[in-house]
Order: sequence, then C-alpha cells, then structure tokens
Amino acid sequence: MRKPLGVIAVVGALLAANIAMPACAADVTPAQWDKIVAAAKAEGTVVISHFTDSGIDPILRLFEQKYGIKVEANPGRPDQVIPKILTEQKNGQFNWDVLLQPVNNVRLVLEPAGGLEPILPLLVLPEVADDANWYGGLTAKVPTKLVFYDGISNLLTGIDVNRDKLDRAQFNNWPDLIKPEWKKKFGIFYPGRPSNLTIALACYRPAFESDAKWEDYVRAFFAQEPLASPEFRIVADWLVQGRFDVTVGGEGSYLEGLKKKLKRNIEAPVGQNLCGFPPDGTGRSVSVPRNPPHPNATMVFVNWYLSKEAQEALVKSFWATGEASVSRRKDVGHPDPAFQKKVLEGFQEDWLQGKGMMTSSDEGLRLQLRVIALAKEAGY
Amino acid sequence: MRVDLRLLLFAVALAAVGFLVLYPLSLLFFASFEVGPYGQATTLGLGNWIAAFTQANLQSAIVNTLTLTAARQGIAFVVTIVLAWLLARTNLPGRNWLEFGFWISFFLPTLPVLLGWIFLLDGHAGLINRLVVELGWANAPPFEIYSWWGIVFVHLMTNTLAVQVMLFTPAFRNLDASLVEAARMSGAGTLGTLVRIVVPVLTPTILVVVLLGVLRSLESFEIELILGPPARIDVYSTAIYRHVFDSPPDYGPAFALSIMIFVVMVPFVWGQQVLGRRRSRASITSRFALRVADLGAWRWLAFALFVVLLGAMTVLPVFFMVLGSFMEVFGYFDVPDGAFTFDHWATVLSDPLFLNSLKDTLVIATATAVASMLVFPAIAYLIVRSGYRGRGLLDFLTWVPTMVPGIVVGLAMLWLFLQTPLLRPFYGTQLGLILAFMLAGMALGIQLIKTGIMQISLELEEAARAGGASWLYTMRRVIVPLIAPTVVVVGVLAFVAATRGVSTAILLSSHATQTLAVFQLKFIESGDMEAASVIGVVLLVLSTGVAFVARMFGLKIGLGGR
Repeated sequence: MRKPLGVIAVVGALLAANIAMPACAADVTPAQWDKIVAAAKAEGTVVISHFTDSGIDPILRLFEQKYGIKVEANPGRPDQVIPKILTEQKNGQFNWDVLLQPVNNVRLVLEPAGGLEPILPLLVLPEVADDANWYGGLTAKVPTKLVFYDGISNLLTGIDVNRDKLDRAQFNNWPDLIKPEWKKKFGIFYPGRPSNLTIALACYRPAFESDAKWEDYVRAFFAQEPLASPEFRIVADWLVQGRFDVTVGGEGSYLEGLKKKLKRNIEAPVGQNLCGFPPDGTGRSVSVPRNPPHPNATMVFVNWYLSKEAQEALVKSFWATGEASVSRRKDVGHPDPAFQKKVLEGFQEDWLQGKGMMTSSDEGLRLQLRVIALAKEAGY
Repeated sequence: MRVDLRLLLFAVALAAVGFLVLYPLSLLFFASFEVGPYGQATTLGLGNWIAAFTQANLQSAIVNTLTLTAARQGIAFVVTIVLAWLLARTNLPGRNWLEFGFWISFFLPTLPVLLGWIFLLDGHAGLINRLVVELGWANAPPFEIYSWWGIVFVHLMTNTLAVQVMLFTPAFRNLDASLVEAARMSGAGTLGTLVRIVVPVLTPTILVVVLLGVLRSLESFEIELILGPPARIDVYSTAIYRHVFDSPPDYGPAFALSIMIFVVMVPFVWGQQVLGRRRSRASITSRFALRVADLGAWRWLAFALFVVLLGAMTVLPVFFMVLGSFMEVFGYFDVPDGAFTFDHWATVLSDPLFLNSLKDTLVIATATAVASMLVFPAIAYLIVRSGYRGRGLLDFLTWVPTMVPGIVVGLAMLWLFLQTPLLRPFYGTQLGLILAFMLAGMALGIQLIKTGIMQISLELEEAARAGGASWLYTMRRVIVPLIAPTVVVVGVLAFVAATRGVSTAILLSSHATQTLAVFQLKFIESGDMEAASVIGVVLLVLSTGVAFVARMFGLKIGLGGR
C-alpha cells in the first residue's frame, strides 16, 4: 500500500502552523489561514500543470498578484503530461503541486495508479468547504475523492449545424444523420480515440432501450461514411467554409470563436443527449498529484482557485476565449445567463437525478471504446 | 606507461554511445512484454505483440507506408540529384542563394505550413481550387489535399526535398572534376560517367541520404495524421501514435510496433555500412579540381524552375505564416470586425513564458549545435579512420535512435533520465535537453560528417604526417578545414532540430526549462494557429539568423561553394 506522503507533508505544514488536519473539507479561522498563507509564501512557488486553454493564464497571474507566490505553469495536453507525471512518480520524482487538466487521463491513468492526493481535506476556506455553496454539493455525486469538478461545460449533442443553410425541418438531430440523403454529407472528428465525438455518441446511449439498438445506430452512423479529421480546427473550418452543413464532435473554443467573429448562425441542437455532466475534454477539474513539493502553496492555490473571486474571473476569462463553461459555485454568474440556466438545468435535472452519464466512468468509457471499435469495423 | 589517446577516446565513445542508445532500447524491449495498464501491476506476456499485430487495418497501414515512402523517396531522389548537381556543379545564376532557399524551407515548422497548403488545396474551399473554377479552367475543383498524392506532395514541399538538397549538394561539391573529365576522355558518355563515376563515388552519401529518408518516412506522422483520415489512409506510424496517445495510453503495442521497425531496419543499416565501406570513395585528393559546367542559355530555364519550386516551398509558406500571424482567424478574410490584428503578437510577446522559452531555446539550441560540432566529427573520424575492431559497432550504434520512431524515443529518453542515477540530476534541465537533442540528431550528424571524411583521400593525411606533423596538427590543419563546411551544416541542423523538436522536449522539459517549440504546442493544441504562427515566425528568424551568422564567419554553409 502506498504511503500518503503528500498528505503527511500537508499535515506537517498544518501542524507547524498549529492547525489540525481535517479528514474532509473543513473550515479554518482567518488566523489559521493567514499562517498557511505565510507558510506558502515561504515556499515561494506553486507548480501547476494545466490544459492548453489560453483562458487560464490571466487567472494564474491574478493569483501571483494576490499572494506574491510565483506560479510555475506548464501547459500541456493530458495525454502527454499525465503519463509523464506518473513516470516521474514511479521513479521517486514529485515535481507537481496542482493539476488543472481534463479528467480522462487524470482519472484513468493517475488515479488508479495511486498518483493523486485526496482533494477534500485540502479545502479549508469556509466559502470553499461549505457544501451549500456548490450545485450538487462538494462531490457533485462524482465517484471520486481525488478530483474536484469545479465547472460544468457546455456539452450539448455534439452536433453543430449551419442554420444559415439548413432549417430545423431539413435537419434537427441524431436520427436525421442516418437518413440516406446524409450519406457522405457530414464531417466528424476522427473516431480513433476518446474525444468529443465518442463522448457524444456514448451520451446518446440512454436514448435507446438496449446496447444492441444503440450499436445499430452507431453502425448506421459510420456506414454513412462521414469525412473525419483529427483536428478540431479542420472540422470547424469544414462547417464554417461550407464543405459540410453538419459536423459532429468538432466543437471547442475554435468553433465558438469562429461563430462569434464571423457572426455565423451555427447551432448545436439540444435535447436528446443525457451527458450533461461532468464533461471530459475541458480543463474544469482540480486535482493534486501525490506528494506536492509545495504543500502550503498547493493548499492556498486550490482554495483560492475554488473561491468566488477566482471562479468569477475564470468563467469570464474562459468565455472571452470561447470556452463556454459554467461554475458549479452557486454565487458565480455567467456572461450569458440564458446559457448558464440551460446548462444548470441539465445538470440538476439529469446528472443529479441519476439520469446522466459520466463519460470517464467505467460505463462511459466502455461505451466510448465500443464507439471506437465500431468505427474501426467501419474502416476508420 | 604511454596511453593511446585515440584508443581511449574510442573506448569512451563506444561505451557512452552504447549505454545511451542500448539502455533505453532495452527498456522499450522489456516494456513491450509488460501487459497491463501503465503505472499499475502488469504481467509478462505476449499480449502487446498480439494486440499490435492483429489490430484492424494494420495490413493496409503497412501497404500505405511502403507505397507512400517509395513514391516520396523515389521522386525526391531523382529531383534532388538533379537539383544538387545544378547547384554544385553548374553556372546556375544565384546558385548560392537558391541553395539557401532550401535551408529556409527546412527551417519552417510543419504544422502552420501544412495548414497553409490545406488553405490552398482543400478539395472544397481551397483558394487555388476556387480560382481554377472561377477562371473557368475546370468545372470542379481539380485538387484534393486529403488524398494519397496530397500526402506525398506536402511531404515533398515541406521537408523531403529540402533535406535531400542540403545533404547532396556538399557531396556533389566535393566530387573531383578530374574524375569526370577522365571518364569523358576515355570515351564515356554522360550516362556512363554518371553510372560508373559519379554514382560510385557518391555511394556513401547516397546510401546515407536514402536510408535516412526511408527512416524518416517510416516514422513521420504529423502530415499523415491530418491528411490521412479524411481519405481513410492509415500508416504504420499513426498506428503507433494512437497507442501512445490513447486514453489511457497503451504503450505496450506501440513499443512492439516500434521494435519491429528497428528489427526490419537492421539489415538495411548493416547493408549500408558494408556497401559504403567496400572501396575507397576519396575524391578530395591533392589533385582535387572543381570545375562547373556551363549550361549556356539553359541556365535561365533552370533558374526559372528553381524560382518556381522555391516559391512554392519557401516564399509561399513564409508569406502565409507571416500573414496568418496577423489575421484575426487564419484563412478568413471576411471577418466583419476586421480580418487583421496585432493581437496574436501581443498575446505571445506579453506571455511571461515567451521570454523564458526564448532564452532557454537560444541556450539549448546553441549548446546543442556547438557540442554536436565538437563531438560528432570526433566520433565520425574514429569510425572512418581509426581501424579499431569495434568501429563498425560504433557506427551501427549511432543509427539506433533514428531506427525507432521519435514518439517512442521521447518516452525512452524519459526513462533513461529518470532511471539512471548519473543522469537523474539533469532531468528537466537545459543540459538534459541538450544531451537528448544530441542523441536524437546523432545519426544524421555523424553519418553526414562520416561521408565527408570518406571523401578525403588518406594521402593528404599521410603527406602531413610524413612532413613531421603530429596527429593533432594534421587534424587541425588538414582534416578540420576540409570537413568544416559539412560540420557547420551539422551544427545548423542541430540548432534547428533543437528549436523544433517537440516529442523529446515535451517529456524532458520542466516548468523551469522549456523551449519555444513546447511553448508553441500550447497554442497548436488549443487550435490557436495564429499565435502558433507568431512563434513560427520567431523560430524562422532565429534559425535563418544562425545560418547567416555562420556564413558571415565564412563557414560555407552551402552558400559559398568551393
């Protein structure tokens, strides 16, 4: 059994600061918090690995300004960063304090290998540790104690439609895609690995009464021979430049940016997808790798990052760069309230009622891998 | 006791190179038999090998790889032999500057250039396709970049032609004109001279260039990954890529596939060594003569062809990269609020990581170049001239990092640094990255210098030694000046490789040390190709600047033929 050295280090820091280590999220007094901050400042640095969203940079600078603690940030894709961190850990190197990475690799690679610290004991600021401040409470019914989901992303159906070309009568949703007239007439993200496309198709599973019927649909989908690209940017360009009027799995900040800048009427239909939360493929999760080298700075950063101040700044920054996610904090608004309302409704009515599907869960992953297998059978 | 310095140097080189390449290779080999999720309990077995070689589409991927490699290398070989001859042995106008154009083409980052070509040749919205249709020259778009020929074309335009011209031209320049003239005087025609004189003399260079080209073709995946899927074209390297970057990663089959490339390439590398050694290829003798052929009026036609080719390979991509860095959205001229902006430059230049990455890049790339220029000639000389029994082995070992795909080499390097106590302190440091880049560029650098040394007749050294010169003095006054142009070429290649290398740098860099290429990746991954183009422009200026500086010092980097 691995030794929870990181937690011991954090406990040590807390003891040094005369603070009792909580078993789960608990409050500290302002004086105790000040001591933690002082210890963090003495450490001087917090090392963060984050996804490549440009929206995160201003937030990190904000933290530096507020606490005078240097953020050594390393942007990178999780499929490159997470195995590297695990390899370091296996060889006794513990170089990272905080991960702001998409959940797939964190949960599927680092978590089962014992590479993460429990996150809840680190939440000590009252406004962060208060269950009532979060939609879905602190855990949001996510079956992990190692990753904290701070945001809800805009995962809609995964389909994008150019409404300047097609009205709803011509095309509306998933069933339309397998009609004969759509053969070879839409573009998709390459289905060779877990992505927005596989997530979207996996999330369509609850619309069918059995796996077999869902698989029939997926087979029919790939039998339509949609054109595939492994670049989100290219799939988005196909839609905007008119090569296709419908694409699947190509959404992301680039397409959002194109829609805004070019003022194109591109719509993502909503309604037949039960995969509202928690989304994979976004940077909206926080976790702490095993044995963070700067335990106090880690604690200060994690608590500040989940505070109202940081979450508000984060939502605005992400919105400005085209990443349309919503904070799970109840006291944090959104530049587009209607969008926020829609996302939160889906979250509360689907996920919290047990209807949604977590795409990083065993079930979600099983379905995604099945999509990949069916795509391979179809020649992708 | 008298110490044989050359022998000592040889022993150190053999031990160091042997450890640095064989240890990571053995880690990959053993890891290919570890079955189970990465980082968790595994069992020993053949599961990875079975999974690797029974996967769907592997057969078509192998066929595609072979046919694409054959087409790309076949076309490149014929074209670059002609281009190199024109540049090195004729009175082509402006040949020095034209040759430098190929260097600039080589400096260009692949992905922004690829997007530029997609912008021009996309089967639906490509600018050239639209122009052709609008001008009435065709009823439907004639070109489709998402195709087998599209992949071949982009490879030729981005790197393949440029590298081979860079490698062949110095070799042609070192060809003694008296050999050609003697053949002519003996009654041989142009073809006979080519087959009986030029090709045999250049055999070592041709073998090295062809082998390196094939190895690069087998492991290249960036272009295939983007242009292949829409056309349902899978290649061997993209199969490896998918295993490595799956969620969760499936390294075992990737290692098995990579080791198979290594195994398949062993006879080819061995064959190249045997053929290259078979007889003396020396063409730089005490009677060396360089004479250029007079093309007459044809030289202007040749010049025009070069201008068109370099326009496509260099001017057009550079233009699009610079343009893209100033566009609101690359390729879109109809943005209502204005198509052009300085925002991307502001974003990149104001990022605190930019200056740090720039500093790290300059230090790492310069040190890699200098160290390569010092170490590689020494190893190459030992391989060619030492006569020690293990020199063939040393020669083979230098090829090893190139015989395994770069994606996997990065992982092997990571393990090498983390599992070797002597190297562990250098993990995540500039020194670690310098060593990694040197290992990655070792085959190209050493083989290139080796062919240069092989072209120098032993009689020159013997004459110096007979005149009383010491070995060191002979090296300094005879060998080094003769191979200096090639060594500088190697230095510039090492500099560029260190500025562009991503797969190694991403795994070995740290928050404290990272290169501009890793910084650029952040923008590429988030689809911000405009900001990535800004860094592409910076990298291009850096690389071109280094090449110019080298030229200023009179070190003929292909600009100043003998």
